[in-house]
Amino acid sequence: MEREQILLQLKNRLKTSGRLIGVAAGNGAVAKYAVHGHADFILALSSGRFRQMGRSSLAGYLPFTNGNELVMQFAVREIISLNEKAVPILFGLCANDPVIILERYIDQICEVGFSGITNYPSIGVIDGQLREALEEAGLGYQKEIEAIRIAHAKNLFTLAFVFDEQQAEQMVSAGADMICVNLGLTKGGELGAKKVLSLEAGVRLANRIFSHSNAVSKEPVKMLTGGPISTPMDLQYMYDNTDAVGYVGGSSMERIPSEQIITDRIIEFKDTGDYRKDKLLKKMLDGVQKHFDYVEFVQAYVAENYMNEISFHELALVAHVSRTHLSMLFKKNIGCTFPEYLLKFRIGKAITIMKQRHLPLSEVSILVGFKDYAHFSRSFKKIVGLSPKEYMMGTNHESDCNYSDIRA
Amino acid sequence: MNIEPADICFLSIKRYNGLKTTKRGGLIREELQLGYTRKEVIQRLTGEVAKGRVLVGASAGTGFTAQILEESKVDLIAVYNGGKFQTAGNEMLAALLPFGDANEIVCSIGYEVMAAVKQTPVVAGVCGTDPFRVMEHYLKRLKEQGFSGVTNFPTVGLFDGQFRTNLEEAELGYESEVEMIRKARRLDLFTCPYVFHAKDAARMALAGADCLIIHCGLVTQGPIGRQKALSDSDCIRLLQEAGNTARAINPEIILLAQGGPLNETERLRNVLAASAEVNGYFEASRLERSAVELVIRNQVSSIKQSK
Repeated sequence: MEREQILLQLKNRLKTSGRLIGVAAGNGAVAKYAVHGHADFILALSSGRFRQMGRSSLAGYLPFTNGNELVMQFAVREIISLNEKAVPILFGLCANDPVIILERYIDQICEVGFSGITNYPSIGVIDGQLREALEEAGLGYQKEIEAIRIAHAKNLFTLAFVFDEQQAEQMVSAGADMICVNLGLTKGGELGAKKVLSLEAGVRLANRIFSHSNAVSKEPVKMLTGGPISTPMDLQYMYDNTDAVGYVGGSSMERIPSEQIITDRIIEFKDTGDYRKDKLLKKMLDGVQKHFDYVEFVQAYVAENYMNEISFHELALVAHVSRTHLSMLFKKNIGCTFPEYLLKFRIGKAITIMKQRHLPLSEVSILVGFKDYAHFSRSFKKIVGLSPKEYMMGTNHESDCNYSDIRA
Repeated sequence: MNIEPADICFLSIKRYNGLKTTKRGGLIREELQLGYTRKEVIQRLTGEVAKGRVLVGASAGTGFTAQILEESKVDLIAVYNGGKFQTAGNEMLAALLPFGDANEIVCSIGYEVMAAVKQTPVVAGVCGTDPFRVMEHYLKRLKEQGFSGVTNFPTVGLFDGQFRTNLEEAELGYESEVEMIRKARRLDLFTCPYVFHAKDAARMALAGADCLIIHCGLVTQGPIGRQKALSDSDCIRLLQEAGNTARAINPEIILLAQGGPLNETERLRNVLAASAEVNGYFEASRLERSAVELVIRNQVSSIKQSK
């Protein structure tokens, strides 16, 4: 996409939706879903790739591979080839790379189909004395400004990640089309950095930086990334309190959600079928060597399986105790026999259901595990003193209190 | 056993002990023994110390430099990934950035260096934080290639500030380097890790390090550098603290110093003279660069002026 076309498209989208979203994609799938989600632009960044490999974003800053080569490989193969002509794709350029000639490399980036560049991984993330040493050795942020300047001169779209006021001024002067304030590493999830700026501090930093970039030119689109923003709520707070009109997300959009979804999903699959029963069984097996309370186990089992047929014999088998022993334990702890307990529990449940919903009584009886209505009705009368029908007719406020303990 | 073409070079050079006969599974096999065992390296170094000599280690980025280093009788040659980035300002800093796969680079420079060196022990700079390698396999490969030992370079020990905290939290911290040294020790590799203060020294000594390179910090001219700059006496104190801590754990541990004020030859002499516990000095990149720079400049200008 041509730069002018991108700028026009972004302007129009800003008018209609009010916000812009850039997605840092580390593979074809993320890029594809970002397009489905109407992302306004895509950034191909080394850290995105590392996240897809299950490693920290920070791996993008360490000597594990050549960042530019990595991006060139995966992004051309997986993202550019998607041929999403309506969405600009930006190349995350490591400007200090000693094995490239910036001018020529930027030409190459353009030739293979990228619409623009961004300065990523940026030296701006590194602080302390090492940063000072890098700057003095000529491996500093200046090179990133130069890259943006060169790309701008070649009429490529440019997004500048900035970390302070001075960098913002310099990047705007170099012709950056977008100024994206980096608020630090994204919190949340398993791989994120734990220490981050608070939302409040993020607002202050962003406002300071934007006021400096505005002083040079108000033209560039103002964006935010990282730091405390990991959910849409966080972002709303930032929108409400800063001039930012958009957000560039990496971890927040693919790592954190996929971490949660994949983990939960696999647990669900693993426990499929008798999900709750399996959990109980696991609990019991864990506890057999220790001090599992068999009676508690039976109670928990009843609470979750009262709607099905329950065989005390099988329960005893599962618990690896004899039927008579379990029966004895049960009576001693609960004060009644297992069949009595089960019956009371089921009737208690039936009363709860009858109070909440107006279902046919025959259906209620099935819901609480009775095979035939006659049996249900007889048992109900034996325990409550009234038939289910009589109970429904109007005495629901009096006689249920006796069973509340069982239902709980 | 697989003999790679590069290994055959070693054969013709008859480096070290040549062929070693081992008995495995009832079969007698001839195996190449490249590099020194851990014990041999330690003996060589402590032998020099016993003779009252100062140990000198240095890094080589090319086979040529390695050859010159050997001829100048350095005690230890290190191969670092920075060797590939001699054009990038300070190569030791470039070594820390995402410009290449540090461990792969060391392997490839390693072949060249190993072919040039005949008897000096060569250690590999291992990037211990690398999350894409099964460290035991990689270390074994280095050993088979002829490296006698390893150190932790590039090291996150050179990172500071908030970024360092973030690295540590992302499990890309110094602990993975300590772990790497522990594994190397188990594989009977000589280990000479970088430490930056007494705490690191204790961790590395406990991990089984045979030698420590005590790094006295970066030298910068900016505000942080001016504030953090070590005086000679600060430097002597740091060496003492780290050295004593390490020797309390392992009295035999060999101590080398690097960085900080030691980058200036005059100050290096003062500090070494005043630090009785330190056995020598490790020089990364400066020897190589300054020498080559000077010679090339002189040579070219003398040819230019020859008419």
